[in-house]
Amino acid sequence: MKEKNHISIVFVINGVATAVEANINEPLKAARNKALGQSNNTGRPMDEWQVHTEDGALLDADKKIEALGLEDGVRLLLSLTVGAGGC
Amino acid sequence: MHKVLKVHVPNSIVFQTATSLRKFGEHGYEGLVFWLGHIEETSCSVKEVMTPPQQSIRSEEGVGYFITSETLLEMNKFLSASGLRLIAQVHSHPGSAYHSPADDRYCIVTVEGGLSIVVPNFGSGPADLYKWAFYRLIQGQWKGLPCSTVQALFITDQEPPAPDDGFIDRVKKWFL
Repeated sequence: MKEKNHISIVFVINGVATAVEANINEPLKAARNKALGQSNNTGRPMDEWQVHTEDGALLDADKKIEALGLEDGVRLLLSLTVGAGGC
Repeated sequence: MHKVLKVHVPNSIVFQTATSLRKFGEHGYEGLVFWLGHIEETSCSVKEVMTPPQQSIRSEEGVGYFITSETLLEMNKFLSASGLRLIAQVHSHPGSAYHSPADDRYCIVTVEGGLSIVVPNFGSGPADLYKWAFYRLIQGQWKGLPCSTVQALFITDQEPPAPDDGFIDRVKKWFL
């Protein structure tokens, strides 16, 4: 059973879905960081991940979940801001 | 990926990877491909080589590649829809194979146990998995894998190499 003011958010990271419980009064980045930790995605700093809706809209991770209007069970896409390599 | 102890890589994947990277190398560029496949509990199998849209970079400071956020978002959607998983990123270097600071810093494989492979000489050498350099993400750091670990981790199959590797020509030389 979820705590009061908490919703479930499913983050898709490189195709893999990870569900976390999130407090709607916290910024989205708190849930994002929880999902990255829970899924063992340690290779890049957490603030280099962007959050998109399934429709492709970029969400401001500094905004509170409630302010973004996200509902229980929402599915979001987490992807990197850039990939690169070189020598 | 961190529990994976065996990675099955068909020879066709190795040849396809080398062929793709050589095409970039012919123009003096590094190239990047992804190995996609299926992951079980302690093993995984590479099923496809994917060459993402990429911007090749060449300057006095060196060579490199750049993948946009839009491409990475599309790849995320593709992986989710297909059920395929990102097993490794494979890229080429103009000379020796090693993980540069930029390779560490801007890697696209981000999950613990994920693999990054560097192919030397723009992939112009033989398509031999064991001549490439292997790195694995362990506790947030890219660690080079010694040859013995690579040999224990990777399983290749016995199917004949692709003709474009020059295998047929070498066979002809052996018998003539």
